[in-house]
Amino acid sequence: MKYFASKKGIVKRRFLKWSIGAFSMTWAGVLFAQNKNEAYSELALKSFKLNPEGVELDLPSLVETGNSIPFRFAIKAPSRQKIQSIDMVAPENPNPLLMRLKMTSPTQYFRFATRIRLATSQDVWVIATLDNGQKIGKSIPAVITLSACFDAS
Amino acid sequence: MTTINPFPIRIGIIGESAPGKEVEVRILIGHPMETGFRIGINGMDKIPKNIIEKMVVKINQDILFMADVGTGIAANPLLQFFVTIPATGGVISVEWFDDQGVSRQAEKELISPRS
Repeated sequence: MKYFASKKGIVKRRFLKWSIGAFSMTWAGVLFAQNKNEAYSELALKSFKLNPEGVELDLPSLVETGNSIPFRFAIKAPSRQKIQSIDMVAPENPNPLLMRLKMTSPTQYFRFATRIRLATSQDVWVIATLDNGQKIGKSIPAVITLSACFDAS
Repeated sequence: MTTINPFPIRIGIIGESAPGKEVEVRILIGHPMETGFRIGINGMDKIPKNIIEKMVVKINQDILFMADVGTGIAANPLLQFFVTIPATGGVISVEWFDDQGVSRQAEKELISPRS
């Protein structure tokens, strides 16, 4: 009887060990997945306290469908500095980074327009990295009445 | 015989195309840009992801900019930007690469009577 009881205890312990291991691995996976997009979360972007000077954004404030929204921006770097790369970010999208432009010959002034997809109503950010490592950027809100990315249309 | 190109690229140059002048360039790329999130007509299967991952825009073989593209860019991507025409003129070219290994390239003369 004592033998059976001890064996049962070992099996139970082994089961607990395995289950704790499996649980912690799953949790680590979830955390890792969250960390992937953490840099572009709304909170993280706001915490950067980016200098909005020289950044002009143009996005319709109310959009019928999020599938194709005209988006235009103009960035003027502070004097004696050049733009090295520009990130367009929609934090609430499944993939927040819309586009990253990398300038091979840095410029002081850059105007660009494209058409973007938005999953939901949110602030769209444009963040420019200057040649001295400084970042400037700004956000613009957009209200979407019909979502893109997730619908089956 | 006409060739049907499923992924055409159109390059438009707007403005006075003369050396030293700034012109607007519009590049329209025909591509479905499937996000991989959409469900097919049967309501069960996801439509496979097929997006452009990289674009390279060049003026006379000098890279103007490279773009890393995500799923947040609409189908048939449009790029609109301004360039100053070099003194010697030349061509503007765009090349894209998608996640299925397909790539296309197109170019246009910056100074031409038709632009």
